[in-house]
Amino acid sequence: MKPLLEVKDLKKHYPIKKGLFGKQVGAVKAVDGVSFSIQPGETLGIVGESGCGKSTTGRAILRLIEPTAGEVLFDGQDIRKLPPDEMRKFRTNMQIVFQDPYASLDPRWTVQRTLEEPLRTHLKLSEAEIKDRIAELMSVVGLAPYHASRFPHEFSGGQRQRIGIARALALRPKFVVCDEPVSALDVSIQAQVLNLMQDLQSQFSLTYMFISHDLSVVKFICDRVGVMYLGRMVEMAPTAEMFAEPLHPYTKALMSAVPVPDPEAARERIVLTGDVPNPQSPPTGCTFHTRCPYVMDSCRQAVPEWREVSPGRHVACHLFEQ
Amino acid sequence: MQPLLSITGLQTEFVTHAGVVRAVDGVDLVLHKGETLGVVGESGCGKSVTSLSIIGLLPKGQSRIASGDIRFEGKSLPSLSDAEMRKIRGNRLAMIFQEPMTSLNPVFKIGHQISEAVRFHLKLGKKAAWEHSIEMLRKVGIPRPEQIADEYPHQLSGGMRQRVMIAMAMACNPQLLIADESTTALDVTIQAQILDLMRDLQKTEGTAILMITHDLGVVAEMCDRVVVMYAGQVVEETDVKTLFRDPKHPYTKGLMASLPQLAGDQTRLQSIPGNVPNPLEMPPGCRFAPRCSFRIDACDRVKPELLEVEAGHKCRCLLYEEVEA
Repeated sequence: MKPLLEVKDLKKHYPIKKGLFGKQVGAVKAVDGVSFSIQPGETLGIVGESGCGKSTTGRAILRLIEPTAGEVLFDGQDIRKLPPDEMRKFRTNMQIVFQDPYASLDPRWTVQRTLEEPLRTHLKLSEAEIKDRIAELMSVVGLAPYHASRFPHEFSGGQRQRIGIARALALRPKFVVCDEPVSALDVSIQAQVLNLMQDLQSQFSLTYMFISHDLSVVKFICDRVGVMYLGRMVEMAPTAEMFAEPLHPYTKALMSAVPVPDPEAARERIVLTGDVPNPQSPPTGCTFHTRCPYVMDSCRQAVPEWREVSPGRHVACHLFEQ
Repeated sequence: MQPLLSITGLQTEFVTHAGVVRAVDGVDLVLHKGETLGVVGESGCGKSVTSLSIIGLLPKGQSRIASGDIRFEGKSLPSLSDAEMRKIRGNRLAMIFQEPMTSLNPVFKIGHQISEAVRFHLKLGKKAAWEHSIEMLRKVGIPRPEQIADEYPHQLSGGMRQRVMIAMAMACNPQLLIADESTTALDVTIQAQILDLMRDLQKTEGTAILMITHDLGVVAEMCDRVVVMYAGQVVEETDVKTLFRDPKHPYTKGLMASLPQLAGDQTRLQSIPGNVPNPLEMPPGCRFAPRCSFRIDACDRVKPELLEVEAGHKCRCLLYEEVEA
């Protein structure tokens, strides 16, 4: 099957400037050569710790942040080559749900206005059609019609995230980037929103890219998972395989670090020492070598290649290079 | 044995323009020396207000302890004067907050901030206090403690800052450490480090920990006993193994079922319908009744009591009470 989205060697570097004339003295490589593809109807999860570049990747794909290099092919079309006008039209295909439903909704706009803005910008609809569309949107995300005239502060966190989802779906996109959509919510509400997102996916045949730091959420909702560390993808595999047998030492450590809600579970924890290195001066070779329990000489020198170790499973680690 | 901390019938109120909100409504807690007690619940359940009531950091003028008592090492904390409270706080009783960046002062060096409490409580001189601070930093696993003591909070990473907070809290060897969502803002690999550190410190120093969190995973790993709170009340209390093996209260059951699990396969998450009730319009009967899937008619009328349903297992639910329907 042809992928809906193909990302090739995507990079986002932020220059570090110094001095009176703003001479560039270095770069923070927030995303440094990430490649993957997403099939239609699939949910791809991207996990990693703060600063690993997962949100930047999501935004660079939508060109909310202009990538430094690389290709983003959507339905075979390189969207980085689109001029601003066409890009704007193209955005009806791809939308985003943000993490913080408090910050991503305009506090002075009613739900009605928030939802009608994308419709008015992109579609020529009559007033009656707009009204119908909004009523329909609100009902699919589980809000009542009378909520339309209310302001964001009148809603709870979970309801606000439903508004954010309705806004993203207003133009019937094919692809939605979900950037930590449930991490600000309490668990009981989180479960409601995750179930809703699953329902909407089958109802509207959506393709999701689901960015999260929470491995259990990712395991629940994603078909495939990619793990990022310091701007690079270190492992990608179908969810079941990844969780059954993580390959990359970082993935192993990440999984073992998650507190298990079972006091009687046996724990074999790999506690990583130290912090994520400074992205301004990342370690040479494999960027994980400073914290890796299996570090070898070659890790300090050469960047490990992104290779397919079994069908559908990719990993970037010297341990898997023969 | 006399408990280290005992709270009886605590009611804490906030005065808002919409009326008086009772954020904590009749909480009883007991914590023994060297024990770890978890307090779990979702936003707005009153778990943080309980901890602020203990340590005496409720916002002045807007809130008050309406009734109840908090006894710590035999003293009734709400009746102490500010000066007396200051002698206990940071000394016998310390707290770690959620956000290390906002709870450290950005304009003072790390060493200075730790030694401030040390000089006040342990009556050490400037130099001795500074050395004590370095010792504490070393204890919490900070590399190059001599240099770090001379740095400012912004120069450290999130995990390091949280270590500094712990060093500061442990500096005067407290009997009770309140950890209010102290690892929530951290990444999982760093969280694992900090939880290990807290466990080690507890083992060597014998400190009791009151662990306030919304994360059932953290509770399962850290706590001996657990109190589940909902809408300002304790709804269930038992030891950690029993809670996870045999939760009694429908809210606790719902909370556990809504967790995505790392082990096993789930195609659908159970969720608790609806939202936490507005504290100004609490349901007249059981506060969980509107969201409860086991609701019976009596739940709307009768306020359930926190009763011991099995040995050492308390639950606030009419399903375990004898009521005439």
